[in-house]
Amino acid sequence: MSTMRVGETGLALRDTKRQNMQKMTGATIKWTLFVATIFSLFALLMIVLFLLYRGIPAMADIGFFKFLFGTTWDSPSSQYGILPALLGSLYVTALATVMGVAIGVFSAIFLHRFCKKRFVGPIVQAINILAGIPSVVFGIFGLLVVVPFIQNNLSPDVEGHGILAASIILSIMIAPTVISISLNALKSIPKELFEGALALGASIPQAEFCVVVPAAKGGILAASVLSIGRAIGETMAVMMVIGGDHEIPKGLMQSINTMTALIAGEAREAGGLWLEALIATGILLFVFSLVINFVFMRIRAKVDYRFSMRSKKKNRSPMETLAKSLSVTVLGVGKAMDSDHAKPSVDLSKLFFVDHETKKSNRKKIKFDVLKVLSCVGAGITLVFLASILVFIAKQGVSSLSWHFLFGEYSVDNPSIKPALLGSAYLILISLLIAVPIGIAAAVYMSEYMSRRSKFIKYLRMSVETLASIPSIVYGLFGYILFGSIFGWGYSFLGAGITLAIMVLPGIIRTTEEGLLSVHNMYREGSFALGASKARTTFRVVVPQAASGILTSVILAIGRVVSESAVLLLTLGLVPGALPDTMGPGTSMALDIFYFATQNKEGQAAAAATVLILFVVVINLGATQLAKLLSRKTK
Amino acid sequence: MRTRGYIEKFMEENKCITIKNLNLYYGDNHALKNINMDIFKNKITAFIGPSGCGKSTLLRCLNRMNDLIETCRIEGNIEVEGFASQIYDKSIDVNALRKSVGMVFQKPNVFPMSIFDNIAFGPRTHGIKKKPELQAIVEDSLTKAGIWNEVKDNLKKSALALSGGQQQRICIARALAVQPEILLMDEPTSALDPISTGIIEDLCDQLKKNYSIVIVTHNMQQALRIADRTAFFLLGEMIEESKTVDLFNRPQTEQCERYITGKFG
Ligand SMILES: Nc1ncnc2c1ncn2[C@@H]1O[C@H](COP(=O)(O)OP(=O)(O)OP(=O)(O)O)[C@@H](O)[C@H]1O
Ligand SMILES: [Mg+2]
Repeated sequence: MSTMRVGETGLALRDTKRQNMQKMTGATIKWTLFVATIFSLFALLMIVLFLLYRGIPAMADIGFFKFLFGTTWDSPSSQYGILPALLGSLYVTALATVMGVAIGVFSAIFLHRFCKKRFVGPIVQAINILAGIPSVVFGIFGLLVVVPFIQNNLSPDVEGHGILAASIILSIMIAPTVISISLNALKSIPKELFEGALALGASIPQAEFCVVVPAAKGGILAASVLSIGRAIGETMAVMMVIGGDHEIPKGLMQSINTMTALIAGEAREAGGLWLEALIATGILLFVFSLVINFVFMRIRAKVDYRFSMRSKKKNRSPMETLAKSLSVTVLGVGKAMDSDHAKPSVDLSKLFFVDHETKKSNRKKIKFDVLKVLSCVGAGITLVFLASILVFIAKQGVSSLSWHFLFGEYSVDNPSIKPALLGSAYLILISLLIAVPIGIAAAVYMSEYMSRRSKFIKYLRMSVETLASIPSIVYGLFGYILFGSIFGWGYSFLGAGITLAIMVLPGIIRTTEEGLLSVHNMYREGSFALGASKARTTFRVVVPQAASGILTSVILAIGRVVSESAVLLLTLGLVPGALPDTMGPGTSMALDIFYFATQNKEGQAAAAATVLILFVVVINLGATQLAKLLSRKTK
Repeated sequence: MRTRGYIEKFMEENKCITIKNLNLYYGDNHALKNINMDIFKNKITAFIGPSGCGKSTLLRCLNRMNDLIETCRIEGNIEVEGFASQIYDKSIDVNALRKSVGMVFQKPNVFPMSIFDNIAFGPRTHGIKKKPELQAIVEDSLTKAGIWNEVKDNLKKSALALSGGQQQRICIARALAVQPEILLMDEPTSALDPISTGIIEDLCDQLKKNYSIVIVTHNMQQALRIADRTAFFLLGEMIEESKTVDLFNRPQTEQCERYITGKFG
């Protein structure tokens, strides 16, 4: 008896008082989390309202028709017709998406099927590096390599800046995203499908292109749509190579403007109606990103649905679907075609049996070999570009790298990136101090405190997704006006930091929420069964297990903050050499690169880019390692 | 007739849970149909029945774990000894209820922390902070769960490094550490090998001196070995409940007989 009831009296005495306390803190915690959640909704609402409030009257002043279809953009005569830049954005985006998706999808197929297994890991790593390269670095690569190349080799009479250069750069920028999403989609296709095709006598390329790729087309489509969003919102890299003439795009080599480049290029000097016309342009960009995001979510929901159906209904396993389709082929081609309509992901029957019977088989096989070669070419292009960017930057940069350049005092004649390093660090500090607590709190509220079936959570997730899809230049414009002019801060680290915080917030929420949702329910139940409160269960049992997800999200956010330049151009100003000061303007790593590039200090630009790329690579590697470590600890 | 009345009365004083007219719905699925039964003090009660008949559901009603399931709707009363009103009443503190009605799950769900922290999690939840006090509770609970000798030298080690059977005993120790009166176990040995199963069965036998135990099992031999009373469920209804030996030797209903002789799917 005596050993059995250790501490019982203590427990009993403390109970009622403690319970009341617990209820109160529980309620406080819940409310705090709720407020954080509402903040993200509020941020989205603010941006939308602000865009509409300042942009719609401008459109009315200019005249909607004149704004949308006018071809002159001239501030002295107050003529603001967006059509050339609008068409420019669409033209460049279309071209870049076609090239980028082609390169990306073929590369993914190569990695999935034709690459030697031991090279897959390193190549994927390399592609992750490509994905982490900041857009301003792509910009200087475009400016210093692609533009001269076009000039020298393709058309001697034009400058080299323009549609082609921008599209090439953009396509390389979107390729990594396309590759990783497509590769994931391809990997999720059950092996049985591929083997089933081989068993019917298909060649490996034929099986891959006829069976596996079509089955993964949902994921590939989602990747393409996502990359359209990325391309249309990209600012700095495009701005540096597009040329900037406000003309309707016609030829491939023509120097034109895009909406993003227009905003980034002019917002700093614009005022009055001019600025508002740029905000109206921001509305257009926002609408495009909304539509693209909507399409993306629809596609993804469909893909998810298909896969969840597949895993839920056991008797509809891929193996059986395959078997079904095979048995149909025996019955005859006509019926096989019918079954294809019902199950578009498996069209074995049609392809093979029709082929054999019509004796086109050989020609078809050659076609698939050509596709195989193309996939190797796609991967080759990706890697060649990655290598040439890295080699170019390193070669140009190394000679300018010195102790003084990194850590010495800044002067105009002998610049250093010390102010930029400090500036970037300060921006990371401000933005993460704001975004990490709010983001984690919102994610915890959404995954732990909200009913998983409620409508509200659906809308919340949608608003987070929407916030994530807004092009960064729109955030920049928002920060520029709200903090710079309405609050009267001008260019400031604080304004820039808050703007960046809002920009990285959705990513943090999403990644953290994913981490929390992946914590098995049995741990929650185990804790509740011991009489632990909601708050204690959440923060002592669930959140620690999601630590790796949370950490990844923070590190990704750091990567975005140091890479960002478009937002900073509008919110931080660009004052090379200025040391960080909360309410003052300044510079950052990415801004310094842009500055050096525009001042024809190529060596210094490349040297700063080398440092930035190294930083981003280290951070990304660190994130992967850390996530591995943490997940091993909890599993 | 007369004796029987006396026995009933005697039994009544030894009840720790009384379930009255309990109906439970998962959305439209009527998962428990008008359950009436008593659980007795310092006895092991086994729930048996085919898969999906509602054993786990009923068990989870007893410490209100079903509150966590959104579609779940409950009608009826459950009275637990020591609580002034029935447990679904608004005045009941769920956490206090769960403290006195502990639960052990089918799959060992040790938290990813050290063995010590696993056991101390409950006491800390209920306000015990002092290290010596915690140490005493940890040692005591681990001893009662029959695993103290195996782990006493590495209490700082992650509980996940233990074997499945050891983890399950850690879970039992963790449940005991909050000093419950009643212990609910949902197929606690279904993920374990025969040796670990035997250890846990012996453990239950010892624990019933101080606790009342409700155990869900698919293993009829197990029910026969350890349970004092057994309840048979079918399609959400409680068909039959009596002393284990009686239920297995002289089942009163045809369904129960068919089940225990293995004629049911
Ligand atoms: N979380 C839930 N949501 C909806 N329905 C549920 C849920 N849990 C159980 N059910 C349903 O309630 C019924 C009883 O399930 P329960 O898990 O209690 O059965 P069981 O007797 O424990 O079965 P088993 O022996 O397989 O563990 C089943 O029809 C099941 O589908
Ligand atoms: Mg069960």
